[in-house]
Amino acid sequence: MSALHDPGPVDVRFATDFFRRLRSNVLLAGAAAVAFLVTVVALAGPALAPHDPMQADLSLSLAAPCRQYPMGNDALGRCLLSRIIVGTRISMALGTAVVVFSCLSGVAVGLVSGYHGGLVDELLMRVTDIFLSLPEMVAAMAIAGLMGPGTGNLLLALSLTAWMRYARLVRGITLSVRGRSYVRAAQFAGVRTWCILWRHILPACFPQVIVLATVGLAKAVLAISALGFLGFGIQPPAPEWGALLLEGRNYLLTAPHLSLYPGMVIMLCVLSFNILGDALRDSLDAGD
Amino acid sequence: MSVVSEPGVGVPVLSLRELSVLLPVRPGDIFRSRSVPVLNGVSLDVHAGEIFCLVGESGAGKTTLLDVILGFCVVQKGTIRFRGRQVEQGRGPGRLQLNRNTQVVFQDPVASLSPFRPLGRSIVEPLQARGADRAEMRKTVRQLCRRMQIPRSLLRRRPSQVSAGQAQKICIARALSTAPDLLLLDEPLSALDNPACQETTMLLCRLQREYGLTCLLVSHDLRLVRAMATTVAVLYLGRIVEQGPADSFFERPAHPYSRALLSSALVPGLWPGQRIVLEGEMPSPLNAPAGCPFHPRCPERYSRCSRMPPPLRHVRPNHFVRCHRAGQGSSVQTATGHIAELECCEQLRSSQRPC
Amino acid sequence: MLKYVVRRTMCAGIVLFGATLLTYAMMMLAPGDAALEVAIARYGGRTLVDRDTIHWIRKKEGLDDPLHLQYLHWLQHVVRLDLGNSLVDEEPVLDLIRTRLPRTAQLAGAAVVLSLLFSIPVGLLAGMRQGSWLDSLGCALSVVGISMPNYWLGLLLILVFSVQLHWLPGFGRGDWRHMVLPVLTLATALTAYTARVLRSAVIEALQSEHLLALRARGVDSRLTLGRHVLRSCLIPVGTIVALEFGMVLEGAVITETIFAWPGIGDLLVTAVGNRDYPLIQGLVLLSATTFVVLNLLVDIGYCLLDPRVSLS
Repeated sequence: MSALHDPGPVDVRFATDFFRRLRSNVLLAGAAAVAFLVTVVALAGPALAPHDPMQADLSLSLAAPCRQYPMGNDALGRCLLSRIIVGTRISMALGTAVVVFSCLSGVAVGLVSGYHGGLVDELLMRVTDIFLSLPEMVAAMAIAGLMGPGTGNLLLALSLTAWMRYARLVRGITLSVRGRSYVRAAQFAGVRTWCILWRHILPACFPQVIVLATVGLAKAVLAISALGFLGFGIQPPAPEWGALLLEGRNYLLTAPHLSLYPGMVIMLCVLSFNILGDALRDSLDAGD
Repeated sequence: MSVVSEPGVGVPVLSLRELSVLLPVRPGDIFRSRSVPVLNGVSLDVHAGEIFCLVGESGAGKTTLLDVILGFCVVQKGTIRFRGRQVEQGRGPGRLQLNRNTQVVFQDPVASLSPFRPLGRSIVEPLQARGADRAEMRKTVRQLCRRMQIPRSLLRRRPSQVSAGQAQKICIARALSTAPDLLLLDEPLSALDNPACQETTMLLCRLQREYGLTCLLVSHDLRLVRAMATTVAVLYLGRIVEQGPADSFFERPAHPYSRALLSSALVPGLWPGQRIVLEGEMPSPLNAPAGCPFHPRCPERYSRCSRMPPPLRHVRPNHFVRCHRAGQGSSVQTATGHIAELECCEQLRSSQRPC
Repeated sequence: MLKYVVRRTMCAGIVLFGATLLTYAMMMLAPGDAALEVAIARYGGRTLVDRDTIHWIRKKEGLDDPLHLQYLHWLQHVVRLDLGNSLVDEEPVLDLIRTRLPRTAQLAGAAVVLSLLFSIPVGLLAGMRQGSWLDSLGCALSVVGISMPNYWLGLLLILVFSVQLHWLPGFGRGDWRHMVLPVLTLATALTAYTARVLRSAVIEALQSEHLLALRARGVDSRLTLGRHVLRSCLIPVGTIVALEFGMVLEGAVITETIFAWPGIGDLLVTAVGNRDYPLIQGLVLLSATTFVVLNLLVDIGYCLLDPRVSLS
């Protein structure tokens, strides 16, 4: 029974440190604002679009940005800004779903693996290693490409390549926490296993999982657009960001704005989540 | 012959017989390629109302013994009986009965309380696990707080926000919340500073009187042992080398190791004679010496000690020792030294006892 | 230590075997009739295939057998390095890979070298001067680097350097000038990621108690301290190089598509588009093997450099 000294309520210090950073660091505040904005746009969806994203008007084909159409028009004369706004919902919804699925499955595997130990642990870790041996993009592409286009397939493909990180992290934390006196006390007192996991071990994992999930969302959005750009993701006419870039690529000479704006939006979105994730991680480290 | 109390004293609450535990050399080695004997034929009885204290250096096997009783460690040989009923290795009915009626107070109080819950919730965790309802839990907490003088404001705090002494009080309260038949204490004072030690010792003594607790106390702190114990056993390299009633033990320890322990305790009145310094350190269980395990460090060793393991000898009523020298008369200390020791102990014991 | 190497290699073998299983399982996900897909891919269109052809294809490719038999059959071939033939142009998969791999390796090698050239000094400096403006700049640049979609970066580079300025060609493979833009695209994400990893490794090494103990003992000389820091940084650097080769493979898929560079990545994209199962399987297996071997080498390297590792 190790006499490990707990430095204090990690979750409380983590939160206070993060909000302190939020108040003092301009860049972080900006990133949080962008992330918030993206979430709002995703939730509000088509209501915010100035024009109908599906409405084609060939007379405006490949028109440059102007006051009425701030981001210009695509080959079919559809308003690019509206398409990007509607596309936000697609990317964010799918990205969040990927994170939720991979997080839940990864955390579950990690908890079981770390808590049980022994043969179960070895087996689960080998399985994790096997999944980790396939490169994310390659595997996701193969799965998405083979299964055919569709949201469900994309979700499956990306979740299958993302759950391992959570599993490894949670397993590590579980291994270090399960030997502590308070867990042993609870085990001996007869508290059920799932109750111990939920009450004592999961809270210890929570902050780090949050960090991973934030960065995971950024990665998911990147991956979704990458697959869309390659043609294996969400198919047109759905205005997914990557698909927009794919369309724009054909008109690089004549209408560069079609390639500029979608990519910029992707980058800003991913950037804000990455900055948030970094700040969360710094808060976590500072608390230790 | 084994170290058992006389029949007719009632069924012991806890009874260990010839307990032997092998642990793998590398932790986590599920194939157990190499094992080391950590406990070697340990037998003891704890009767109702008794405070049984296990004393020994670190590495002697005290923690493993507690792990075995708690069910965290697999036993290679030997039996455990709780209230006469055999306790199985896995999750059998005997083990469940032991778990339900036993509570533990761990070494590091802050670490044994969940950092994510307020202290008030931690106290009732054993009750909650047994399916008690809210009213019952609240009542129990109120009673315990009153009995142990725990201020209500403390219950809302988290473990990191209280001192180690306060946290240990909470742990003791948690242990008493289910009115256990047996209380296990693993070095309850080692993480506390001196004032908290005093306070906790007095608290434990008082609670033992009021509740009539049966305790198995593991400690290297001889002050606490002196204050609380009814029976003392000394563990060395996984074997019990001496066991006897507390008075008898402190008055005239029979084993050279026990004498050295008492002399090194630096507790006034415990050992009026010269400090006995032992050579070397306790060897690793991997290289246990042949014959008596203590003989390389023993100031009283002679030829037989390295050849044969010593038998169990009965030196006084209920007082046993594993030593070739025992029963040969007090050849180590001078007669005057021994008598002086007796007188001193008598006087100091009556004046020193805090309870 | 030898025991560790053997054990680790065996683990890697198991993982590789599992990877083959996973690769094969992926094929099962594909809906529809495999033989039909093959026929369409081979002959051009649905209307151009008749039932007899499909039947013949099914027999020839052994698509009628139960799945585990198909898998074992395939595995037997793989072990003999026979990855089958592409369903589309019926060339041996191994030959296709063999032709294209050096081209990707060209890009990859240049990108890795370029990225190491920049990321190592930036990472080291940022770590050693933590909190300074240099560090902040480095951090800002690297977080932008990992957030930027590399396909967008590629398009931007083409737009600027090829379309507007006409300095560099925007696609295809030829002389060194064709390599500049793809290598830049690949190297950006690598540099950013590597610099971050190195920076945190340096910070951790500097704060380590080991170093504090050294300083306390009076070892003040910059040289000795520097050597110790470098030594503990060597391990993450080793991991990084291995990681980079893995990442570069992924980046290559998109980069080669944008710049029409006829390498492995481009091959994979085409294969997926054509549902060319043997080719996809071969390529996925190739990348998995690369990953596993690289990780194995890194672990063994760890073991050599850091004796503590072999004990755990």
